[in-house]
Amino acid sequence: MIGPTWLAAIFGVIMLVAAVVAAVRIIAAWRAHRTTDYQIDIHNILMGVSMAGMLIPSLLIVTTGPSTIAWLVVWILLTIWFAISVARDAAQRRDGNGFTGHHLPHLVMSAAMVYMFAVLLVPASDSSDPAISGMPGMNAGGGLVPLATLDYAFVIFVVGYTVLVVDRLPAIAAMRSRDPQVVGHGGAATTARPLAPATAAINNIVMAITMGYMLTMMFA
Amino acid sequence: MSQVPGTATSTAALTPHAARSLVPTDWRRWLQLALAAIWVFDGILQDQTYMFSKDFSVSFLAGMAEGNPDWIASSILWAAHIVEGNPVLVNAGFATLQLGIGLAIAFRPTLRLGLAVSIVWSLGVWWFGEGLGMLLTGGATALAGAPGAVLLYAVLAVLLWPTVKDTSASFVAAQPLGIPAAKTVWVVLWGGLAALNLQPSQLTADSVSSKVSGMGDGQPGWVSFLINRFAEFSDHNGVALSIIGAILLALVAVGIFLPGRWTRTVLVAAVVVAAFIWVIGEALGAPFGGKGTDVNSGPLLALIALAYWPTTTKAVTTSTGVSA
Repeated sequence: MIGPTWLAAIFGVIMLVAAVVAAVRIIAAWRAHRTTDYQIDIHNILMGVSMAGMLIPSLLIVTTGPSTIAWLVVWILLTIWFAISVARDAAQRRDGNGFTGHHLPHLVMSAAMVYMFAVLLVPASDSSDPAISGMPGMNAGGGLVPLATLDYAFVIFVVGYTVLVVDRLPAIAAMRSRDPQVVGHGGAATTARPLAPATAAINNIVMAITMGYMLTMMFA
Repeated sequence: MSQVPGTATSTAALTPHAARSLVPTDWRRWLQLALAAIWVFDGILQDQTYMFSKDFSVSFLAGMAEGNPDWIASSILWAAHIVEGNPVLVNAGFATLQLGIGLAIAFRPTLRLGLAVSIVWSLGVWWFGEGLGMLLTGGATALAGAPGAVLLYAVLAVLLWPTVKDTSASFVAAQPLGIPAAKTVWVVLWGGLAALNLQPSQLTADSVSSKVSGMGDGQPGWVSFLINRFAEFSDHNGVALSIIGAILLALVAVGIFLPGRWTRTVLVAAVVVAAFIWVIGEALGAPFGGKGTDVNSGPLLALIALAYWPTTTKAVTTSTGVSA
């Protein structure tokens, strides 16, 4: 899932920047009393860091068996979390609460992260350290990545998600000038403007493209 | 609750009206986004390690010259030589351009630019990268990817161009071209594919099996299974299968002139044929193995068919003022 080393390094740096952007969003939203989806921002921080770790092994974020397993557990938990969120969104739609549900893409991307980390743990034919040499494309024995069709399906999803968000960018950017939205689920309602929605969308686009890159490199 | 799927924005409940304004409003836009997604994927595929190697130009690109007339072969070899000179820089440019085309088509303000660049790039790659779809070699068939996948990108860009020349057009492809021209494109495409099946080289016992044998190697198990079974079935039956294929493709070609629901039947048949080509003849674009450059012709033929699907929606102007 690395491809050319120099290109992987570029994507890795981009992922670290994306993670920082997500972290800044959380801090900025809290300080400026603006709204943001903390679930997605936290998701993006973790995804940015873990993907950077896979793309740049020298960062020592994802290079040992225990750390890979730990990340796998994190992503399994996040997948479950977003599955619950998606179910909750669907229930609110049935109750007529207008548009809800933006967690499905992140559910799928979390599942894709589970897949990538699980593949990392598949032992390579020429090394006793599965986390390092088990990276698809680095396996001297070659062979198809496990559940290859699922890999392909994930790529199709993230690419489709990318173009959908890009399509909506002009409208998202225009949302900055709109009236503050009412926020709150069942608690006291307050009004607050969303925090830089276009920035959030661009962050998601960049992460989706990078994930598509990593999943595609697993084809080799 | 977010205002836009997948974006970390306000958790407020968006009104249904506002939510609907964020969704593509017409069938043509959905098709444009599908085309954009394919371009983005192609850009990512171009980032594979093999594409940055000299072998890509020496073996892959130069190999397209084989069987072509000398004047075409020499131009292909010239282009391959250029790539071979600096494969990393040149391929990085290729990948960036293809990714950029996809994003430009997806971003409404740059839609026309993206489509225009895609036409120029597609025609160039069709010549220098696909050897004019190998149409002049005598061996090209629909099952093998004729007329060349990259040419179909250009066809789609034209069919999905954001201009409404004929406001009474009942299908997307007719909006920029008018109904007669759009149907002519359809007939030329599918009729041409039918004609390719009747080339002398295709009327041999192993003409079909030789094209699909081995295509499943290195691909997912279910794909390999289907391809291998078809290869066994088609062995020694090449003549009959080529003729049957030609008849089917010809029916698809002329079927566009049928009225009402028969048109939908023909379009469904076209999509089924495209799916068959994509799975059996192209192994889903043969992406596994690190040398796949694009999704191949199957998905593009299906998209073209969908551009002819009868619809009552018309092109609309978005909030950015760009008609998609």
